[in-house]
Amino acid sequence: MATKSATKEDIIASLKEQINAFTASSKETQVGTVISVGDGTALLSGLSNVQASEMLEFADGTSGVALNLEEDRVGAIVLGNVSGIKEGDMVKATGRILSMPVSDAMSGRVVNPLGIPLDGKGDIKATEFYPIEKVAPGVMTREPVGVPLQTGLKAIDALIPIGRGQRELIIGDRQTGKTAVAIDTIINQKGQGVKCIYVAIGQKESKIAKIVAKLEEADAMEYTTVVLAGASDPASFSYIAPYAGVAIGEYFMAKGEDVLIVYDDLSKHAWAFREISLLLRRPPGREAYPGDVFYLHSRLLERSARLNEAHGGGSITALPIIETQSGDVSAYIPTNVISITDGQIYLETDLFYRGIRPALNVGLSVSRVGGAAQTKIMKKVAGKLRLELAQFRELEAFAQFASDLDENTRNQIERGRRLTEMLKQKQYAPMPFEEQVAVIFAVTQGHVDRVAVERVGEFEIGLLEYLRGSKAELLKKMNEEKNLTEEIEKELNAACSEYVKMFE
Amino acid sequence: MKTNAKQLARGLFAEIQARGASDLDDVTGAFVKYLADRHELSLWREVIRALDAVWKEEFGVANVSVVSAFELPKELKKALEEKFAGVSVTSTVANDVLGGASVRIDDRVIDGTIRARLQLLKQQLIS
Repeated sequence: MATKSATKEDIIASLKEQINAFTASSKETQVGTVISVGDGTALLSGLSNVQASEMLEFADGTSGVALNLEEDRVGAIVLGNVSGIKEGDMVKATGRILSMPVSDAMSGRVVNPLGIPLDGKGDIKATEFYPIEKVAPGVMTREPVGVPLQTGLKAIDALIPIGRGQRELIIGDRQTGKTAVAIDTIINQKGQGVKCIYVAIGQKESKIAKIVAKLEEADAMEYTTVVLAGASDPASFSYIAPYAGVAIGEYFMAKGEDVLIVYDDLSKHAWAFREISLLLRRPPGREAYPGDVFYLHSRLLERSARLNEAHGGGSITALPIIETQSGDVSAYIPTNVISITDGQIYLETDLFYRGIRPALNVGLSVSRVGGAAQTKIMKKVAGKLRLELAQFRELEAFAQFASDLDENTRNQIERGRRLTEMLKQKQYAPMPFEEQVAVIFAVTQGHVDRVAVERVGEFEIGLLEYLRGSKAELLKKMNEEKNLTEEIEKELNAACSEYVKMFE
Repeated sequence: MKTNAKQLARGLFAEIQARGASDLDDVTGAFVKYLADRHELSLWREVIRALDAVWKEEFGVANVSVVSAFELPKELKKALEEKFAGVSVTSTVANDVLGGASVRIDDRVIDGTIRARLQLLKQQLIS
């Protein structure tokens, strides 16, 4: 009891001290008047010295951001409910540029784009404020991508490797597993020292609840922050959500940490921006998007970077997601984002329904800089994989018409079928890279040639169990050396042959 | 030719300045009729806003309003009107400011009310 009363007295004493030390000064504030309000935006008069992106405070306490600065009026977005704002209300300029409260305590939390927690786990004490709009790191502070970011998905790590600091677009129609690829990548970062941020833009809250539950189940929430702008939130929230997410990322990057950020998805972000722009009467362009819709995404994605050692050596890897309509990658927003990013993972509905999951189109998917980041061992094992798969696809189409095939072609087709089968992977089951290497090695070296195509999955599970059980040393060596030395190759070949015998 | 609100406001201002305050009602009456004849009465809000801007260009300030907890003393009111000659000065009494006064000069506010100070104290204590 004694300690309790002491605490109470302490609090009272500290309050008294603060009240005594308080000096009220009347400062000059800039104000304006609401001319009109509608659907998340407001037109204001006055505020002659307001800055772009400055935070505003409406009479009912709602925040806003000044976006359009015109000669005699200001167009602002309202970050909250507009029903409490009336024409003629006073609006105050706060003098602060829109910023995001950030701290280490953000990991493991679900927040809205203003940094307010939505998960009911209490307040987040902010240590710093990072501006939501910030100029991307310059050329001299950057370093080329050189460290891999393992997604844990065989098809991606082998064929379209991603490096830390890269921007790799995930593109595909609805229901092709775009979010699944991103979530698996987040799950695979466990123990890799990568902080993850998942930005949900205009998503259904039920979907996000499911994702958060899955991440918690996989112990991935402890290093992940979810920034949520739900489908029922105003368009202004969807518009600032990715910038808020990357502001959190920049906080960790400045500390020298590696960050993975997923923007799910930028199509909805462009819609939100279009809505705001049209309401603010900016001139519409192609597909009614405003003229600066390219800049909208380029300035966001440019903030992903790998900093050099002199600047802390941190990185932000971005996985933006774009939803296409019936496979049309040549629409306005998809082409824009494809041109900004360092490659794309293209997911296809046809492949998805044929049971090839992840439904990756190997021909259209590329990684422009990730090759430099791929581990030597994976490079050696998977080097010819893309070519073999491409040839297989061509031959397979040809083989549908021709019945008589020479042995060489038949072998290539059979190998291709097994490869395709081997690249299939279950959701929420990312794989360490040494196991991926072992599996791909088994196929490319022909150990699976005599296994029936429909039994390849079974073979893979068995092989991995065998390696984990009897050849743990070999897996460990592969993980440490990250190179396909003669010794490792020999041992791996021997292990595969041994297991093939057992399997048969 | 269509004239915009700013041009209309400038015309009105020039006319009032030329004719003097005594003819104010006549000038504004004629102006409203002019707008009605051109079917531009819907512009009145914009014209008022533009008039403020024109007024500001000429006198530096267009509107001054004072909100206080108690009625302002006569001398103070007079001093204010002298200080802001040619500007519309309004003063209102609002009990909820508790004490002191807040002065709004166009888009600037200097808030010296007790309510504002208490809010500031509350913010400081919370943070």
